[in-house]
Amino acid sequence: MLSASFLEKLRGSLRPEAVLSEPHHVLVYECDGSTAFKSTPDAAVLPRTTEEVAAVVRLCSEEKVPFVARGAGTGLSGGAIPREGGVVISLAGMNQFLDLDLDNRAALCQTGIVNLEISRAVAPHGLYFAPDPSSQSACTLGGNIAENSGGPHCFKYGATTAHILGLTVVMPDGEIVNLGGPRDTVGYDLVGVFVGSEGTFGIATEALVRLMPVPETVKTFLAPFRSMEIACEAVSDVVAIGIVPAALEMLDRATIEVVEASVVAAGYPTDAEAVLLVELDGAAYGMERMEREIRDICMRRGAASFTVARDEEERARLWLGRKAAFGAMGRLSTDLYVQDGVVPRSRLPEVLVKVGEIAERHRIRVANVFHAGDGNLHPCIPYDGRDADERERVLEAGREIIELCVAVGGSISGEHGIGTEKSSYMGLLFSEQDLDLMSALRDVWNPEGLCNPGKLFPTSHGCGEAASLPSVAAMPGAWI
Amino acid sequence: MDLNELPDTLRARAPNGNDPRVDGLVPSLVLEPEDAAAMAEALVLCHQESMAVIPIGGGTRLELGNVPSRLDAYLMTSGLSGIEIDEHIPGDFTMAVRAGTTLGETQRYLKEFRQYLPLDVPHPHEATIGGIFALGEPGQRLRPGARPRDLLLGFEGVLADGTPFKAGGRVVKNVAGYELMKLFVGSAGTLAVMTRAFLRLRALPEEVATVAIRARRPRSIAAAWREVRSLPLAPEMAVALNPTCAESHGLHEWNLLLRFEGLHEETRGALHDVRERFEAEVLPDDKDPWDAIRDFPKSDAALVLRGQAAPARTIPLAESWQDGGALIAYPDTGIVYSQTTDPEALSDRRARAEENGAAVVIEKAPLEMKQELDVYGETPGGFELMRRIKEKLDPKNILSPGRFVGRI
Repeated sequence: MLSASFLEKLRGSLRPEAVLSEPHHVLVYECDGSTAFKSTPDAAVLPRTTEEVAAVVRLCSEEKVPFVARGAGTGLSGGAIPREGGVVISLAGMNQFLDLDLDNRAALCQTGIVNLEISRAVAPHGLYFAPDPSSQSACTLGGNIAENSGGPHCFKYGATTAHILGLTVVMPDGEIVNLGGPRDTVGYDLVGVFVGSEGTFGIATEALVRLMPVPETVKTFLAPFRSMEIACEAVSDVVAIGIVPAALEMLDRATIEVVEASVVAAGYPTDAEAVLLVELDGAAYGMERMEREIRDICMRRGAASFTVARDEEERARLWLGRKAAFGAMGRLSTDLYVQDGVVPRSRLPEVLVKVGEIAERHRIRVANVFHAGDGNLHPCIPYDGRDADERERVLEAGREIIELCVAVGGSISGEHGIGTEKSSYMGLLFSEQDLDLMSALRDVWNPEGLCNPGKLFPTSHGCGEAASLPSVAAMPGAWI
Repeated sequence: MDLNELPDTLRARAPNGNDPRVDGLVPSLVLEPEDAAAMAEALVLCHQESMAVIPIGGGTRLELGNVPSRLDAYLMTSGLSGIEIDEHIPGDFTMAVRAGTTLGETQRYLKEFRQYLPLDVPHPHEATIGGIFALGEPGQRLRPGARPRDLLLGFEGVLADGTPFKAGGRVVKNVAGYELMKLFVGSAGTLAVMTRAFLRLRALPEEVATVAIRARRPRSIAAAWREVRSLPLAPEMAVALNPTCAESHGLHEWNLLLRFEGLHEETRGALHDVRERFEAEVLPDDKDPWDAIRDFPKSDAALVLRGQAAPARTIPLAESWQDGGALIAYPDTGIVYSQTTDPEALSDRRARAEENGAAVVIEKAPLEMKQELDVYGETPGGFELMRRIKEKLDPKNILSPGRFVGRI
């Protein structure tokens, strides 16, 4: 509980209406896109400038109050929830596009700006911002930076880290530092290590982002297959010949059915066990041959057909089905658990079979929609959160899927982050020394531990804890 | 220290005439640990004895960095060499390689699989994987996600006190834990010693082609680059050469060299478009200039500078440094390398760089000059954080002390 005097100081450093502390006002900050973890802040503040963020952080630092930055709250790992109460610093109002540097193909933005707004703003100049998480019409740049977000097109262009040139960061003691910039700087790559630090190093308030030229040609293909395994083999064949598609995405039958029954119906064939969505982009030269080679591979692997999107409208529809697949799953059940494991691409076929076996053993349904090009799985498990037994089975299946990913040499998260959800899994990947090193680094940035506490690290570093998920009792509410 | 009392696995010896010098200094001890466990053991020893060590791979870039504030031992990574064939998964385009393996050996091995590591560093047959990532030089590739820092999926290493650790993973997409790879890449041997790297590979292109756009004046080169960028061309590399440098490649005047990689149709199409618009010459395969450009500068230069400008100021910076010495400029990254036989050129070049908003790193200079200054010039934003990171990870300051930015 915050003291009245602290709240008064907060109001004094911002506009009074920018400080929320009534329970019904702060309730909306209790969870992010995954509603599994809830924790209500004592207050939420709505700054407009870096200086206002710094003033709030300074106050929190002086009074030892924990604080958490939040963008649009679309994260899926509980990264933006205030586990220890305290203050949520909402950056949603810091959404200004500050400067466009056409010569250097860079844009300076406040980090509360919505990802897609950056591309919209620079589209008249033939440029765009490449990171494209599925939530890009809602998620903020700051959240992308915190999570090092990916998206379908990071297969070719890299995740967010490859597109951030500079940052203004409010350090956990309120100091403002500028890192990186339009030109290469010397010293340790602090921008690189900040991106993906999940809000535990400080609060990025402004970012200089790299802009890319909109490709001259974009071609999108759809190939349905009679099995996921065969579709995965086709993916490996495409990659093996050295063509680097902009995206290589896959949806299984369960996902196809739900998408096709929804308002985001994309025209995916509902009798297919899997559809492969391939996109090529770049100069027009060679596009014809690449299309031919990919078509040949798909047909050789037994694709039922090979459809080329005729125009931008059809292309957009094919992508909407993919990007809105999570949302469409709301039709299946009251709750949805989205996993985010990664496996070596060559192990995809066997891993998908085993995921099916896990689902069967736990009597749950799994719908797979994932980034096939980089082996990033998103098994989606619809369930009824009111059924305690089913919820337990879902969690157990989720844990087994993650353990499977690690066992074949993969990772516990490809793009959603560790946050609250997976902190107890970190011991599956990292030794105590590895985690000690990471926490030593966090202590340099965030010595008091006030900035987004309780994230990323297991409460103890022992591997024993890795096997345990939060108890059901600690998970009221629903997954998205 | 009695060398005979040290474990055999450290392969300790006194330095000899074949060992390199770092800014004229020679340590009293050379350790050449036979494997990763011995590397950890070696660092435990150095840490206990507070011995200042410089990790050395191929020793190809020892001229980089400030004069060491202390030097007691070299820590050679030559014992950690070899490609882990079992860990190379061609279908996944990933591999594991020990840090002391040379880039040349790695590329030779990968060629059989029609794969390669898109790293373009000087002297690849001697430069080691560990050294390349420790320096993190930007290389020549333009596409985001293709710089050296993007190729390191994970690594194993040893901290200054001998603690072994690993970071990242082996898969091409992974956000579990902090991006320690980014911290290590470019840390110049001041934070940890890499023992093993997990790397992302690429398929060898079907075809490679280079075209040279010629112009009399640097501003025409800048204009050509702006036009190239406005077209749907996607060069893999782009570099401007001043006339002195161009001469050594049999070219004349200023040149903008573009390298295209990909399918036959892609490279042919790009070359066709370039030749339609510019006075341009396609270089025959036997005149491929990229290895020589990669190895710039020539070893006889007394002063080698690296300018770091915003991309749009690359050619103006190059022009302002133009006084007869060889010079190359990467217009997409803003990096300009210049070499001269006259060390006195430094102060003027620094002034010109400042006018262009650029920083200057001295890559090579006479020892007496290096002793008087910080070769990195500027103190970057976040320097205090850098200092604290160094202090936390290497509290006794034994890893390459004094050599990095701000004499970290």
